[in-house]
Amino acid sequence: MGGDVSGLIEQKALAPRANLPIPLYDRIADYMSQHNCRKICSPFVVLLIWEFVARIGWVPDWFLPAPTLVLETLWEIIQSGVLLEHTCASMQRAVVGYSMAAVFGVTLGLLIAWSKLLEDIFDPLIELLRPLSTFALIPIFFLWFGIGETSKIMIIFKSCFFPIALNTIAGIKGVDSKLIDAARSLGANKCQIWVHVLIPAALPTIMTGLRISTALSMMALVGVEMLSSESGLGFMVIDAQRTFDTELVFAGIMVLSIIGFSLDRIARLVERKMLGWHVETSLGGA
Amino acid sequence: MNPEESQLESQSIIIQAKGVCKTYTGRKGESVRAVAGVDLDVAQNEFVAILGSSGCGKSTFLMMVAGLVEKTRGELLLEGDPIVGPDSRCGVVFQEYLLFPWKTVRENIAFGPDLRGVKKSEIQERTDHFIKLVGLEKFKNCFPHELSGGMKQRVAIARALANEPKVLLMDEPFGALDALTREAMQTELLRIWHETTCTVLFVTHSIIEAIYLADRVVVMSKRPGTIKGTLAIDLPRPRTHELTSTKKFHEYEKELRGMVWVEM
Ligand SMILES: Nc1ncnc2c1ncn2[C@@H]1O[C@H](COP(=O)(O)OP(=O)(O)OP(=O)(O)O)[C@@H](O)[C@H]1O
Ligand SMILES: [Mg+2]
Repeated sequence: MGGDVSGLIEQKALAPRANLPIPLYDRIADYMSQHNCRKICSPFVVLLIWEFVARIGWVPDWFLPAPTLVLETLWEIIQSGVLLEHTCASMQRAVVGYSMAAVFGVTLGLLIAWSKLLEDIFDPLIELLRPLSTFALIPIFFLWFGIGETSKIMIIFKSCFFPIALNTIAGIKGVDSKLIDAARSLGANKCQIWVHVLIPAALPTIMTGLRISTALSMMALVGVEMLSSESGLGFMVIDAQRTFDTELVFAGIMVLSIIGFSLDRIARLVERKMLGWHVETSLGGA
Repeated sequence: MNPEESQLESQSIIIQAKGVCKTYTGRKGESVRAVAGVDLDVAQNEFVAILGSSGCGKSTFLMMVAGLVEKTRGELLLEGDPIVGPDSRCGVVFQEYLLFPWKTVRENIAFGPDLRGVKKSEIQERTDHFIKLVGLEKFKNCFPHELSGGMKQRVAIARALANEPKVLLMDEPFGALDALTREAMQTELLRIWHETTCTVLFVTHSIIEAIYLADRVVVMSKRPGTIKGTLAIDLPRPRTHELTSTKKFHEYEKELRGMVWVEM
């Protein structure tokens, strides 16, 4: 919050200069105001220290390669197409597993919130399976689905499914019953209440489940690719480690971090676009 | 409609309550008697205020009329038909506004007609009319969180009216507003009521508000709620706030205060 206030003050101070012929400069200066500047600088400072430590030779290259070396490797795998190949393989698994989890999770969540019978049937199952580590299921999945794509997708599915389903249930159950009364008094029937009240009111919670699951899908993906795979970013990293190609390990980790960060940003963007009314009323909008 | 007929209609009873009771079952299985035998007749186009202390069952009674709470015993009729559930002839304005936060002012007001399958052009027309009636033209595309409390309550009133109800049930609609906004809203409500002519059942804590607005004030006893007495308010309409300092107004106030205090 404090950052926002200082940002506001900054804007005010810059306001009289808005008519000068270089508005772009102003815009950049505004953007780089203290608050944003600190945020952008902090990773760079860490990189600089890292570079320094690596360069003065305190640690060997195979232990901690300098960022510039990592970037060089990154550039190489971008040019040779290796990176693209592995990224595609990974993203394909992630997208398929995640989409299935989203569709089934939201559907089952809605059904459970709708029917007491289904709740009684599925609730104990969910409570038993949910706390189970995804990786504890890997051996079983390998047994059932082989070590091909299916088991990898199923593992990603498992790690995303529960947060999505549970958030959907919690979202629907958390809707203010007075809001339903208001809709009923205006003449809404059961079906209309679902479409016009319950689902829109629960959407912020459902979206949260969908958003946190993007990160979970990446975690599960890397894990399973490290265990058994011939392709994918997880495989690329673990394979590089086996051949002591530490630069490639770091390059892969960097790519994974960028992908994870971008996915979260995209999810936030979608959330903001879809739920403008909610984001602005909640702390998330600050 | 000839004058005689409209005369007849304005005399006819629209809401009829006979020995209406409500007993809630608490969480631990104990029973809470909220309303114990309310008898009340409301005439068409009448403005009736229900006055009572907190927790005496006013909301419960109103929600039973709205068909949102099931009655335990007694008879409750709307135009002679038993009330079994929410009815589009009754519009409800809740104390907490209860606007749909994901809908704009416009969409909130259009919601009722939309649910009932009114033609698009007609919805458009009606929404425009009611937005204008409550004076929110400038805010029609805003979301509820962008409005002040008084504006939200106006949207809630417009939303209820857009269904063209015969009865408007209002549960302490101005309870959450500051004194100044409250007075403005009271005047506004009377203006709207004159323009739409519907029956109003208005729950309030405030003696002054009850006298200022209503044709008749009904005083409820402490829980379990019953009707303690009624007082017809014979003040000229249209009313203005100057009226609150007249002698007649003070007499009504004194009388009602007596009725309420006997109870305490
Ligand atoms: N759902 C419920 N379950 C159990 N008891 C309830 C329920 N709703 C209301 N009550 C009880 O019924 C009584 C009357 O409640 P009600 O809300 O009708 O009062 P009220 O007159 O509207 O009060 P206020 O002026 O404070 O709004 C209260 O004692 C309350 O505890
Ligand atoms: Mg109440």
